[in-house]
Amino acid sequence: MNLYQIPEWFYAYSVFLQFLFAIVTAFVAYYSYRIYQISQERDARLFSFSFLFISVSYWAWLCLSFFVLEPIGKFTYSVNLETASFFELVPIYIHLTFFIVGLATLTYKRLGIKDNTVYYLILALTLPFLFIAYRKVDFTYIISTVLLIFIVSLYIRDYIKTKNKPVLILAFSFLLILVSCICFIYGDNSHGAYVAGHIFLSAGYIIILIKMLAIVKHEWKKTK
Amino acid sequence: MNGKKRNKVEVINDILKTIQSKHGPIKSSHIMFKSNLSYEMMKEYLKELLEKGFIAETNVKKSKTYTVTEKGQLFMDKFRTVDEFFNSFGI
Repeated sequence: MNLYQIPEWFYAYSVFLQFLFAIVTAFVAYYSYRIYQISQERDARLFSFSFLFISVSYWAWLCLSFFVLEPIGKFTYSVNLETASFFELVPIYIHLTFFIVGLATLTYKRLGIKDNTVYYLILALTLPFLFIAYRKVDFTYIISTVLLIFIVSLYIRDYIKTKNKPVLILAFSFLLILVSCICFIYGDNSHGAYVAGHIFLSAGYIIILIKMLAIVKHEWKKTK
Repeated sequence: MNGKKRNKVEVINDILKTIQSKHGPIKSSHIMFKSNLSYEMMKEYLKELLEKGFIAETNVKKSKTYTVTEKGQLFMDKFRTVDEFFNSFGI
């Protein structure tokens, strides 16, 4: 069973994009933590940690692409999960586990429940199955899709309540990330799905990056 | 007041501004009136602000008075950025 099937022509682009995702999510995590330090708001801390977990997942993905994936066939890069060594499995598990933990943390934050038991319940209902599931990549992206459906619908609910346009834009960016997860479900046996997944993911993170840069620019102008 | 419901960070900023505008210790009743809050809300917010270290409480005779700490001052200085971040990311 292969992890992903990456077309040879897209390999370099995918590494670059994974680096971009890792940087953007790390930047969001860092800035949110700064906001937490100023405001001492629990929600800002949760937001920061969720993006930190997602960033760790992308750094692991980058390591995976660099060190683990190898040419299989004439035009494809991949890795076989059944024959992979322990050291090859480590970045794979870090990537999949931290992606689920990051989205679970974000879902918990969006639910607005101040009870850690709910958070542990979400993790207990998702993480253990990753280690026993046969199709681990499919499982990760199906669970991520479910969590993202919750995140997007909660953002839309907030928009209907507050009519706050930035929230609607954010809902759209997470919708793009959701679509990318659906694409990645088919990424283990389709070149096109893997490429499409990266394109949707890039679009989602570019929106988030633009929003972050607007805030940073505004702050920078004020301190000038 | 523009009639729009204030979010949490706006209320916190209003309370801190009210305390600071007194240029010295202020009683909770003054904070309540000037920040336009109910007694229950004000009690909750003051408790939270004390926990966060944004304000300091002093017992003067039988009543409590409040002053803004350095941490509270930093929050006021960065309020616009914090508010924009919370609005943009739906926090």
